[in-house]
Amino acid sequence: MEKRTYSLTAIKPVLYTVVFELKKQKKKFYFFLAITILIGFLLGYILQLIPSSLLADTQTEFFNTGLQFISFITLFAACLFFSGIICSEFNKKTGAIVFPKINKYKLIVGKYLGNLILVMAIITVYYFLLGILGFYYYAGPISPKLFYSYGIALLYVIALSSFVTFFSSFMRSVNITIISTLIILLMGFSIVDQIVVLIFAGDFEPLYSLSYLGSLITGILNTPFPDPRYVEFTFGGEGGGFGPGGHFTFGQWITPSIGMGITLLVVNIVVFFILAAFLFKRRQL
Amino acid sequence: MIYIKNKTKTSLLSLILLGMIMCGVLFTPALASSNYQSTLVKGTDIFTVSEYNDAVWKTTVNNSTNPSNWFEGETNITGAKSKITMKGWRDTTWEIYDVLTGIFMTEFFSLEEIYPLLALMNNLGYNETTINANYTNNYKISYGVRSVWNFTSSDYPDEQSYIDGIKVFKNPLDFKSMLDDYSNLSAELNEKLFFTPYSFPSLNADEFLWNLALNGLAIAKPQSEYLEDLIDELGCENVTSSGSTLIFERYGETEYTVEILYGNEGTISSFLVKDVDDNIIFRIVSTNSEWIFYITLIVLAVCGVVLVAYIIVKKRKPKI
Amino acid sequence: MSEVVMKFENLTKKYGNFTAVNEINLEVRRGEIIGLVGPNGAGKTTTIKMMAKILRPNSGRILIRTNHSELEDLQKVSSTITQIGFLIDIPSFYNMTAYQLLRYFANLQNYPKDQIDERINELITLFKLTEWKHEKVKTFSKGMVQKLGMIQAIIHDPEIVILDEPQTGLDPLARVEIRRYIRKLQSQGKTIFIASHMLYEISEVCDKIALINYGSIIGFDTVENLALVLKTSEINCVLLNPLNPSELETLLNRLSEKLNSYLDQNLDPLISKIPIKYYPEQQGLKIFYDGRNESKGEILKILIKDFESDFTVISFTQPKTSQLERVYAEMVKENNSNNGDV
Repeated sequence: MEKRTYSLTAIKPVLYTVVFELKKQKKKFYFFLAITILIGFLLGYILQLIPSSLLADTQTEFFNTGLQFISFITLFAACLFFSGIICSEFNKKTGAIVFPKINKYKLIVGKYLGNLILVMAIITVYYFLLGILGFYYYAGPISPKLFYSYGIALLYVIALSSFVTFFSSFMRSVNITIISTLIILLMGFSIVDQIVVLIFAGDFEPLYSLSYLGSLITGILNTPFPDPRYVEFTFGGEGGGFGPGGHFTFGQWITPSIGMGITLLVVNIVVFFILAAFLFKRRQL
Repeated sequence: MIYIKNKTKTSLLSLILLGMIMCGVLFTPALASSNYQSTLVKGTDIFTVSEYNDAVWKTTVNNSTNPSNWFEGETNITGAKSKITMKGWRDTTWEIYDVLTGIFMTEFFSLEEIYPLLALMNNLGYNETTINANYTNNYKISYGVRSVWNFTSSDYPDEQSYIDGIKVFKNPLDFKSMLDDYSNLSAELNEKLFFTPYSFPSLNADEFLWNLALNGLAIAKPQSEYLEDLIDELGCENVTSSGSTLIFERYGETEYTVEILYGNEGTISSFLVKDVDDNIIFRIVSTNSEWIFYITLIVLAVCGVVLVAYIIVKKRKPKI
Repeated sequence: MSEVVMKFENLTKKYGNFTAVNEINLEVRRGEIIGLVGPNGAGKTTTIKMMAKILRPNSGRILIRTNHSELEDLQKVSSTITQIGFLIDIPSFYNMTAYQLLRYFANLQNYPKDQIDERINELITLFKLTEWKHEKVKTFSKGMVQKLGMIQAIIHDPEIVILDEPQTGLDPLARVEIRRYIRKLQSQGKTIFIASHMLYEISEVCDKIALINYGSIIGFDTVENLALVLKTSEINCVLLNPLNPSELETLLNRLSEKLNSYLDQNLDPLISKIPIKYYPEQQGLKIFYDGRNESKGEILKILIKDFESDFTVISFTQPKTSQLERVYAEMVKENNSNNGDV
């Protein structure tokens, strides 16, 4: 007993929680890792064994194609790893055992970091796979843009994690958290973005949308960086407006600017995590 | 009888099916060809100008040119690099019209000239249907698409310089009928085009092969037999082969030799220009970085094995 | 008298209009075993959750003495209280192995790293879970989960152990083991706070009992002192031979006469109409006396000396449980009527 040290600011509980969380989520991690490697391998290698399936012209285009799937992997991983991070403590009542042992802020930070390490590892493996395949097909060196994209992807996954953690902090069930966050991230943002573009066209950039911010992952690979970032595609004949005689204009924001994208991702990370931690602290078992 | 769990059975069945599909996909093109097999591989080769002697070039090859006339970019600078990415290929059959447009016209005319010329030929009754009807030879080829970065002494730009095609004719004996068909057709066309600025040059076997070699000829395996068949059938006078090397005896300012070595994939691996005294005037060598990739894979595999071994050893520890 | 280690001051918890815990005032001294007894929904678990800082009280506070310092407001102690071990409700664990869980919990609570494995082995052996040490919790039975819950509460060797229904889901043998272990903890100077609705289990181990109903403490004292509140207590005497039924009435009259001055004169007819009863099947006498300690001795003396020729007393005990049940029933009844229940 005498040997024990009591420190209010000790980060050891956070580290213990991180390590425990890594062990706890091991199976989920292996599953996602297998899926990620499989997808990376299928897209980057198996598909290329088919002679008539043409390799992208350049290394960055190859990365761009490969990274179309990263947002899906990231999204599913974030939802499945983080949806139970808070609400399961209440739903499954595991909190009754663990809350008296560790400060809630330290617990959430530990759990968040633990899961984040795993999700980031999955992303890293995917990028690594893509990187070495890019190196293999395009004889290196690996374009620095892949590293920028990797940085953005990490920021994006952290932002998604904070977003899902925030939902987990007030939702009752893990499954409902998974479903609702998946719906919002997969469809909700896209639908709202389309409506916003229909109403405001190029006047209002959907910077509120995490999905839009995520488009910077592939956007940053473009040479040159898209300018203008808002484009319009017109279908049909002359005359304007809808209908048989008119044309239909479809507008799209391609990607946020690098500075704004990074800033907003960081804002999302901080705001959602702080909100989540605050709600977690206030929530009673 | 060995009892196999249902789950295992399903997994095995899926694996076998997947294997069969993969084998089907991968081996269909290979089985389709008869004696010679295309060995194209997707990936990138880097070419480096390892030697260039401008003074000797000028006195031996051509006083008013440099290697840029053969290979685009800064080929006249030692150390300049180019890269070519093989994007993929398709097995197809060409008819004479494809040969005319895909090999001869692209070599002798610029893009700006080709379209008006084709229109003109059409007006004269020489379109795809009529030409193919009169010249009925078919040629089995693997047509590859590649991105090419011109030689540069600085960093490669992000975008490729151009995309071009590479042809592997499955039967080297086809080259003779191709040249014969061209000679007959070009003679016909030149008569009709007499009052126009267009004229198809006549080619002998050596020139035909030289043009092919400079413009994306790739060879099939077995390479030495392929080259021998090709040269013998064409009846080349100043071209010989040695193993996978095609040797051109050429004459510019003075005599010189060009040696083109084909690599395993059937594409150019090195290009060497020598004078009669065997002094190297110009040399391009190719390198690829596959070994780094394989070393990375080996390191990863070793790490994986060590990790698995560690986990197994750790799990075998007696539980208290 | 030992120092107060935990003090409840007007502790109140409300869920909307419902008052789960109503102005509880209690003092827990070092080395005591305190039982918190009440029916389901009386506020036991809510009280314990407030002690564990899982719930925040609406008003009032819990004071705690950590490390022999001054009493401090629990809410103001920013870190977790590593001197306390909690078992709250039916425990629910992450699906990990028992070893992984216990190691994590011990680490969290600052238990010396080099002694963790030894401690885990000691407790796991004690609670007969050795075979299950490296098995995942989802494979555990309800009783095993409860045992693991006990172990996690004491893994870090806390000064104060707070147990909520510790014997739920346990077989009788395991209950005895738990009781034995609780006594062992007490002998080590630990303070123990047990909440339960099982009166017998509580009365067997507790020094003091706090009776809780409708969120209010309706009594807090030793079992004996609580019994005094009712001015009645009972003694069970087991006899060597059965009494002759034909002489029973005469004998009971003689007993009433001799013991009259020690018997409960105001015996509640709901408990019994007569102060001395004979139970032929048990060969026992039940005597309702006035609850004074000196009366007990006098009764025993009279039974042995004056009735030597009538029967031989082989056991003379004062059952805590039935007394406690009566005390509890009495107090709850009173409390219910105060709360307007019929």
